[in-house]
Amino acid sequence: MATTTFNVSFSYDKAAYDKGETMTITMSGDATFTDTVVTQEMSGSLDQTFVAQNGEVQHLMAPSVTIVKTENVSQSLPVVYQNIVAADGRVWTIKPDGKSATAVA
Amino acid sequence: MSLQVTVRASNGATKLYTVPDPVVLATAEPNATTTGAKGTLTTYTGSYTISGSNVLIKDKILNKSIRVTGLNVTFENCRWTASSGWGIDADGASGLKVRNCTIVGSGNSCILTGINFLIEYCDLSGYDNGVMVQDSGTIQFCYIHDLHPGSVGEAHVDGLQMGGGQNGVLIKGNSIRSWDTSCIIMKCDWGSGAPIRNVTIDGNWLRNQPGRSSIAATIYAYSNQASLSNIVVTNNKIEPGYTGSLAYDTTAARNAVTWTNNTHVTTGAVIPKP
Repeated sequence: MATTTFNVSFSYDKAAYDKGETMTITMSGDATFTDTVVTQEMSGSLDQTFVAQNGEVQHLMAPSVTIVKTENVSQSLPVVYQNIVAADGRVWTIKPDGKSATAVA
Repeated sequence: MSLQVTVRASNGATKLYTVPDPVVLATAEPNATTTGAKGTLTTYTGSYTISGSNVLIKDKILNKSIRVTGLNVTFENCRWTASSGWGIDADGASGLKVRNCTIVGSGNSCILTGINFLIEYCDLSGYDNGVMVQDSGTIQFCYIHDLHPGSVGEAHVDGLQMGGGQNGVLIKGNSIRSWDTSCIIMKCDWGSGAPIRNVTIDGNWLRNQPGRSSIAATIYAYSNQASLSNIVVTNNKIEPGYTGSLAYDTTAARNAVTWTNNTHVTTGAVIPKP
């Protein structure tokens, strides 16, 4: 089953702000997409050669079998801010790179 | 209070994070100049019951108590002179915002908050209490003063009052001048056993009202019928009441209070946890 796991942290550019100062919050980290991929392939038929003591040769064809392969896929994904809502009504503006946002203290 | 941050990965998956609010400092103690309504105001002629959602009332003079039941009602730069009950009665309402308003009057409290409220840069005076906090919300950069102008014998004056059931309250950068009882009281009186949880009192000026009898204690933390938990008191400038800067009724109530970097408003001396 495919899952996307976020590993993101946030940091302000200062520990505290004076009223009216511009505040910036930056996001770092990424997301990891994981999935389990199951593939099947045929082994192909197998030509087996038997040689008798008298030198006579005989070929027997073993039938093709199905090989099931289970593989875990992991991929790192970039992340961006999609939205920020402040409970105090302050408006946060997301920068074009999607990695930071600013508001007035 | 907090930021609700939605993050989107390049495959379209999203996740909602809750991020703590930034710390915004008041650069100076709020006063009548930095708070309250300013400029030209006109008389409010609308209904004194606001049931609609996302209503904005701005630059108005209101002459009686207003009842708010709607969602996300905002008052900006308004002045009240009400004389009964509450200036703003938002009992049970969600999302009240009161910015740069002046409320003068007499009665219970200038504002009954409702839940998920924001009160900032307000000049609140005259009532028995400045703000009656109902549930979660923020009160910041307000000037609360000259409460209860009546006789001393009737007074039970608190700058901010939480009576139980509050969870998630930020009180930041306010100047609160009170007398008789407290600047901030947390006491689980309401309902049957409603606790008070997650209250932060940060960077306020908590004083006695000049010309009045001293507050009993600057901050009350009384569990009474329920319990207190995660009460953070930090960075405040305090003028202790006649019993001190923090009153509590049980050891558990005292232990619920995290007390750091609080100083005497006049001397600057660090006040240890009482």
